[in-house]
Order: sequence, then C-alpha cells, then structure tokens
Amino acid sequence: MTVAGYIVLGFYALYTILTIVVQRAGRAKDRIKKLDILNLIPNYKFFCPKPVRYDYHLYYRLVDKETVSRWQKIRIGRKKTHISFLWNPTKKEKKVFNRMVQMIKDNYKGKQRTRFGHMYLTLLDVVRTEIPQRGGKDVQFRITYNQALRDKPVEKIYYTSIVHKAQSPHTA
Amino acid sequence: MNPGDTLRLILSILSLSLIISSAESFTGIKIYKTAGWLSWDRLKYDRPMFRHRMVAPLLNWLFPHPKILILITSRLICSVWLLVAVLVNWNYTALIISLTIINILFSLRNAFSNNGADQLTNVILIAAVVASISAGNEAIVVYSLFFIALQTSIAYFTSGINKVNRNWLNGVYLKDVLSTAMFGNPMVLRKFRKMRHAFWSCSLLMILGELLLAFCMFFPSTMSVYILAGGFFFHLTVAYIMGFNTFLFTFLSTYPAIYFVSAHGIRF
Repeated sequence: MTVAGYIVLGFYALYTILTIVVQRAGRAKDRIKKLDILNLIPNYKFFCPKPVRYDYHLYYRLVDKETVSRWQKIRIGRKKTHISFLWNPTKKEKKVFNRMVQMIKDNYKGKQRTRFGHMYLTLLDVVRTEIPQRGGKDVQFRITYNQALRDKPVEKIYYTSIVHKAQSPHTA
Repeated sequence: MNPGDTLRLILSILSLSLIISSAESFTGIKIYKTAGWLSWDRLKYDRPMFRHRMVAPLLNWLFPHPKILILITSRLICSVWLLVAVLVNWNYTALIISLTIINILFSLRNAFSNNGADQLTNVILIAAVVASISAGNEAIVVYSLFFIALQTSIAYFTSGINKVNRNWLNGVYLKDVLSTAMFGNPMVLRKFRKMRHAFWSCSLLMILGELLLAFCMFFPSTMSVYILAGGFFFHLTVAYIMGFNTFLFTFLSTYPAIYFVSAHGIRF
C-alpha cells in the first residue's frame, strides 16, 4: 500500500470514529461538535428517539391601548402535493419553524424572559413581516399544536409571547 | 462494475439530489431575505465562528440575500455540470472540488435547517474529492467507496437502533408521525386505521429494514441486491408520504457503494 493510501485510510478511519462518537449524546459529542465548525460530522438520528409528533401553527394578533385583534394564522410553507416526493421546496421553512418551537420549549416556555436570542427574534421578524398593515400597533404571537390529520384535531396552546413593540429594526 | 464507474454512478444520482435541492432554494429564496426564516442578519449570531474576524467578511458578503443567489446558482450550475461530466466521462476533479466547497458553504448557511440528507451529501462529496484527486490510484477509490458504504451503514444503524424503544415498537410514534400534516398523508392514514396491526407491524418492519440495510454491505451481493431494492422502496414510500425528496436521491446514491463493497469486499 502506498503512503497516500495510508493517509487516506487514516483520514477515513478518523472520520468514521468521529461519526460514531457523535451519534451518542454526551460530553465527547459536545466537544466534537464544538470543533466541527464546518458541520461535517453528521448526526444520523432521523426521528429518533422521539420524532416530531405534532403540527405546530403560528398566530399573531395586534395590540394597542384600547383594542386587541383576533388571532390570525400565518401559513408556513405549503401543503404536500402528489409530487412532493420529487419537489418539496417549502420543507425548509417548516423545518426551521419546528426547530424554533423546540428552542422556545428549551429557553422560553414557562419562563419570564426579557432578553431574547437571535432565533426568537427571527421568529418575531417573520411574524412582523407577515402582517400586512400593522398601523403602528404592537404585536403578540402564539404557537399552537395538534395532529392535523386526526379526525377532530383540537389545537392546544403551546406558547404565547409577550406583547412586542410594533417597530422591527428591519421595517423601521 | 469497476470502482471508477461505481463512483460515477454515485455522483450522477447525487447530482440529481443537488439539482433538485438547488432549484428548490431558488423558488424558496424569500426565506433568505432580511426578516425571512433564514435571515443572515439574525443567523450570524448563531455561532461564534460566523463572527470570527478571519471569515466574517467573506460570510457577511456572501450569505445575505441577494448575494446568496451567487452560491445557489453556482451550486446548481456545478451540479448540472457534474451530471453531464459523469455521464459523458469527462474529468471532473476540479468540478467536484468546487462543488464540495460550495456545498459546505451552503450547508453552513443552512446550518439551522439542514437534514440528514444534507449531511450525508457532504460526506459523499468529500469521499468523491479524495477519490478524484487520487486519479489512477484505484485502491483509494475503493477506500472511498468503502467509506461511503460505511457512513450509510452508520446512518441506518443509528436510525434503526434508536427506534428500538417501546413507543416505536408498538407503533405509537409511527401513528403520531403519520397523523401530522407535515409528515403524514391522509389517504395512507385512513388505510392504516382500517387495518388492525398496521402501525406496529410497519414500525417493526421499518426498524428491521433499517438494521438490515445497516449490515447490507456484509451480505453476498446476490442478497444485498434484494435488501437494497427494499431500501429503495422504503425511501420511495417515505418520500411520497413525508415529502423527504432529497433523502430518496441522496441515500439511493450510496447504494452502488454498498453493492460494490458487498460484491468485492475491501482489498488492501
């Protein structure tokens, strides 16, 4: 075997060991993930051990001193079609929203927070952008969940945000 | 099939996945805009690396909308070019290196929305780069094929073994997943509900199938063909029901490597 062969084998062996270590939660995984700045060590836990079991929905309402509007739904992505097995362009936004829901569960649900992380602010930006005419009103958003294909799906409240100021740095 | 042809087959299927995914990024470009779901204005705070003085100028130039279109366009062009190159047997070494760099950058940009298929794509591309730059050294191409097969086996094994818990085995999780509009399909759900043991038997079949696919490369090639055919059917079903289109092509692209290892083993 050539020197190049040994180098390549060593590289693949190391890559494989790191991949195997990363599949198990723990300190070793955290350390590797910290060093893996290019995101090259894959995590293959598809739907494991707990899959996403709910559809999450995003609502907003406008608030001012005297009135509070009704909750309005923000549509995220499109429904799957018969060609989704080939073409499914909106899966990314659904995936990001689902990750945001998880982030909210970990950081904000049931907690009083006055400072918000960048992902929370992204969600807030999306909500603000989706509202056609705010008229200077403040905004509040809500996340609900259900299993939409059940016979009588009932939406339950997952998280209700505090009332945020109308102004967004992007739309100011 | 020789190692070079196997690698070309892998890349031709993978390029289909990359073409579809790049074209999807074009149509869903609004998520990259300021105040979009993947706005760089916010995402740049996701990791300290994004703000490192060595890379921040490049990322802050390339990653916001509309300049992200440069990355998406290059990815699409390189993927189409790769497909043509492997089909007509052109030298694609420079092309595969460019595509790999572009894809890693794109994965970095989408760090918050990447899925298993995106990660496996990077792994395959890295192995293809190693194989391509060592043109003429057939042993290295064989190692690369073995590596791709091994990574796919780890993927299937991780996914299968982590499903060995009560709620997956009794079908509760499968029923829950199929009851969501995001991952389910009303017609399939209706049919499953009519059958008494559909959820747990399908769940069990899926787990066994994933574990079987994990060890497929160790079976004789006459058997591995049938296991891989089952894997193709599994991914096609998942893609149809759940809409995981890129998983279909990305995982399918690794099957020639699995078959190659199964047929030849690894020769030092």
